[in-house]
Amino acid sequence: MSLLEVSGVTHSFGGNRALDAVSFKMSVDALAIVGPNGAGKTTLLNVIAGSVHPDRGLIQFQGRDVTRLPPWRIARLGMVKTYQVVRPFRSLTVEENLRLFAELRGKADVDQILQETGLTEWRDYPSGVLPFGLLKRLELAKGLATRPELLLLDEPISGLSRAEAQGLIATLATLKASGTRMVLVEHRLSEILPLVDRVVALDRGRLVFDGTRPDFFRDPAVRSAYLGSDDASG
Amino acid sequence: MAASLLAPIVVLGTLYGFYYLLLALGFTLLLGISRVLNVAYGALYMATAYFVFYLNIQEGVNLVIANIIAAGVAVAAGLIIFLVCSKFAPDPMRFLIVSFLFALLFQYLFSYYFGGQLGTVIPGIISKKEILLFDVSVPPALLVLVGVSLGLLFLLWAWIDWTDYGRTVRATAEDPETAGLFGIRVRSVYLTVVAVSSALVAIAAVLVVPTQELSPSMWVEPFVIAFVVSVVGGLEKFKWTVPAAFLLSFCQEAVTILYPTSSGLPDIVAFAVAIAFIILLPKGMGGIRHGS
Amino acid sequence: MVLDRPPEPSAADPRPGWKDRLFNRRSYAWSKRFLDPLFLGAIAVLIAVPVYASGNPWGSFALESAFASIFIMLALAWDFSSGMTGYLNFGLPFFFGVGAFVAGYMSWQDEVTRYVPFLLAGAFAAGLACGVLFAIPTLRLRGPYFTLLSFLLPLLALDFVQAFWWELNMPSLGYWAIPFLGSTPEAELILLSVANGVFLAALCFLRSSHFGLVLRGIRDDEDALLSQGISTFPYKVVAFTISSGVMAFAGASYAMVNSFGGVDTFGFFFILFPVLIAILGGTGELYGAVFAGYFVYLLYANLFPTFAELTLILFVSLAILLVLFLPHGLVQPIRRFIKFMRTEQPS
Repeated sequence: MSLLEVSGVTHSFGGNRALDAVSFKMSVDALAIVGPNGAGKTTLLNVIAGSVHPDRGLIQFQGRDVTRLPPWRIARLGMVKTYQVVRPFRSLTVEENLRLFAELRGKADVDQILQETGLTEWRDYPSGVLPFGLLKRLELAKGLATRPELLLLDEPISGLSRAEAQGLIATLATLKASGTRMVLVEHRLSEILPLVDRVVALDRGRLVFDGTRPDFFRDPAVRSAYLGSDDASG
Repeated sequence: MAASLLAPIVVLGTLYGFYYLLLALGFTLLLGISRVLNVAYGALYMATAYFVFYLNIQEGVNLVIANIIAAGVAVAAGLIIFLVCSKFAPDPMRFLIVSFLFALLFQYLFSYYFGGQLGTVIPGIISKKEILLFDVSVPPALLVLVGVSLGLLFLLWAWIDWTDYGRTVRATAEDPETAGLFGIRVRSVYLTVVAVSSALVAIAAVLVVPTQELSPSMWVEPFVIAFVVSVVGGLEKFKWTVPAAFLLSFCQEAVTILYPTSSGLPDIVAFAVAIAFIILLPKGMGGIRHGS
Repeated sequence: MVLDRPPEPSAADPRPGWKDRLFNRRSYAWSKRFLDPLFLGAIAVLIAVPVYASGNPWGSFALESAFASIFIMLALAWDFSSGMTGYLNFGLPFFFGVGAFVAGYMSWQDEVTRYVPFLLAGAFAAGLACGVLFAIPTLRLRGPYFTLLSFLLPLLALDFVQAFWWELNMPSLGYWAIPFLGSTPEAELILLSVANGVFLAALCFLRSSHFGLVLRGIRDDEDALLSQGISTFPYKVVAFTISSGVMAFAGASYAMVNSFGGVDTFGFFFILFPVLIAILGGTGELYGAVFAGYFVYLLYANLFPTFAELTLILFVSLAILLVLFLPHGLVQPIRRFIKFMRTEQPS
């Protein structure tokens, strides 16, 4: 049984087909969903997380159909999404942001999570005063506080400098080594791909590649999607 | 006997439906375009009434001129409240609180200056001598209001749908930020909408207030009617305001005719209709097609 | 800013002892909840006012302070639900009036139910019941729509009583000869101050618990809470239910201080003052309502004999200015100052 299975997912916004019969399975520790701008990556992540219900298709998490479940029910089952545009609870301190979710699925060790994400010295500060790089870490920490089976990370390093991104990727690598499984949507391929075991690529809502990292850059469909696009970060 | 009850329900329900429509149009327009819930909307109705009283009864100004000036004052008050709230309390919740406080301020001010005039009925520009319509006595002002409502509904629809400025208004309603980036003066669009909305409620006041007694708390009823009709129609859904207004007026008139001794019952019906819609059909009539 | 790998936890780090847990400001136990200087200050005020009001050489102002205490109770209740979640409840006079009418109704039944604790308990229970009945269908709505719907409640109650008071066998548009809360205004003030102290402690305890974190999270970003596994609906319902019970308790107290509970309790006056007090005290801060409540109401009580209705106009104007220019009230700047004095700046 795969941890996550996406079957025939199709979704349109008005007349715009954002996802077109996307299917893949995830059995690895880290999967990247990539593609040029407008490929449907974030839409796919939102469908998986339950914030958007697809027009057609099936999402199965640990063998259970979660397609029509509300996001909070999916989160309680162990699949949690973090936001590309960070959404801390600004009137709460960093520690309080984690404590909100720390007993959602068993008891999370807030001190350890703060340590793993490099936020220990900021724990008592209102999250609204944190610089952007730390807010990205807080977003990750919030997800970890739910003790997820699978983390869905929406562009975790977007907006970070190269050094900040390297630091966060090192944190993700540590988390992966300690058993946290993740799906990442990212534009910055060169930085994120070394972290993942498998890559799924979308182009204009269609799945054009599902395979390992070494095969990714050689695949003609991927080359066509990227070299024929305006994605400057690829 | 049933037939003798049916006639007033149908006649008065229809006539008051146009009154409710006129009240709700301005409220829904403001809500749909600028996305603000203005509790002071009813206070503009009251302001019109009290200014007519002040100008005509206390100062002796010609009745027609008094009504025009009073409507102008209401529009100005609406613009001032909107400007103050949008500048200093732009988020919807603070806007709501401040507009409610302005309505309370109007209530206490009018109570302070005109408190002794409780129960006064102001003269109307239309004769108050009731006429018979299908054996039902109706104030002529209501008949005029039907024509005015229909005319204003048509004008509003034509303005929004057919004119260039109407397109500008619709674009602003859809996405004010993008509209601003394309050179639309969003603030002046909002102010125009506020002025139109205030004028609609002032016109309703001019026609209907002469059939009511003045009271410092008279701002509540028009606001509640406007809000309930909007909820029933589906908040921000302009075209569904029409059937919603008539649904409410027929329900209330039926209750008034069937239980004439219970004065608070029509209002209870309005609340019950609103609460029922919110529970059973939260998107209102306009949301039925899309599911609730 | 370069972010290094987080340090490995040291095996030599000692586990915090009881003193560390009590006084460590990172602890989520009692230190955070009850050693807050503003909380302690509020308790001190609740103790000091009854003492000073009774022993005041210029004459007791215990009765005015008793009314102020009722408004503080209302403000606390409103702040706990609306101030913390951002779901502004304008139906406050409805629950207040329910408490007054239930106290009146019970007091007119027989001698047993004229017992003051029964009246207060009955009113509290009625408030809880009404709170649940109101909260469950309406808390599906967000923001201004919920607020406007709550606004209809007191109007509905007013019309209901006016339409059916005769059929309901009420003596008039209210009940009179309700037993007094205490034998003297001083005794009533003491009782109300104790009640406020209990409510304040309980609500502050809840505020700093996980329950309170969720309520504050709802105000900040409810969608983010929902997407990360917290169903916010039960929290909102519980908060509003507790709040409604306290409001009804306040209504019963008001009826018993006046010995009359009538339709005036459904009036806008009972939105204006609690909201003004809650905002001045800092929405979501709870204990700020204690300081603001005595200040606002006692000022009103002293001005009204001279200025009558102008006083109301003044206070509404003040409320407008407050919401426009000082929406976070006065407690937040004070708290920031205290925190600034206590906190080391980050490297």
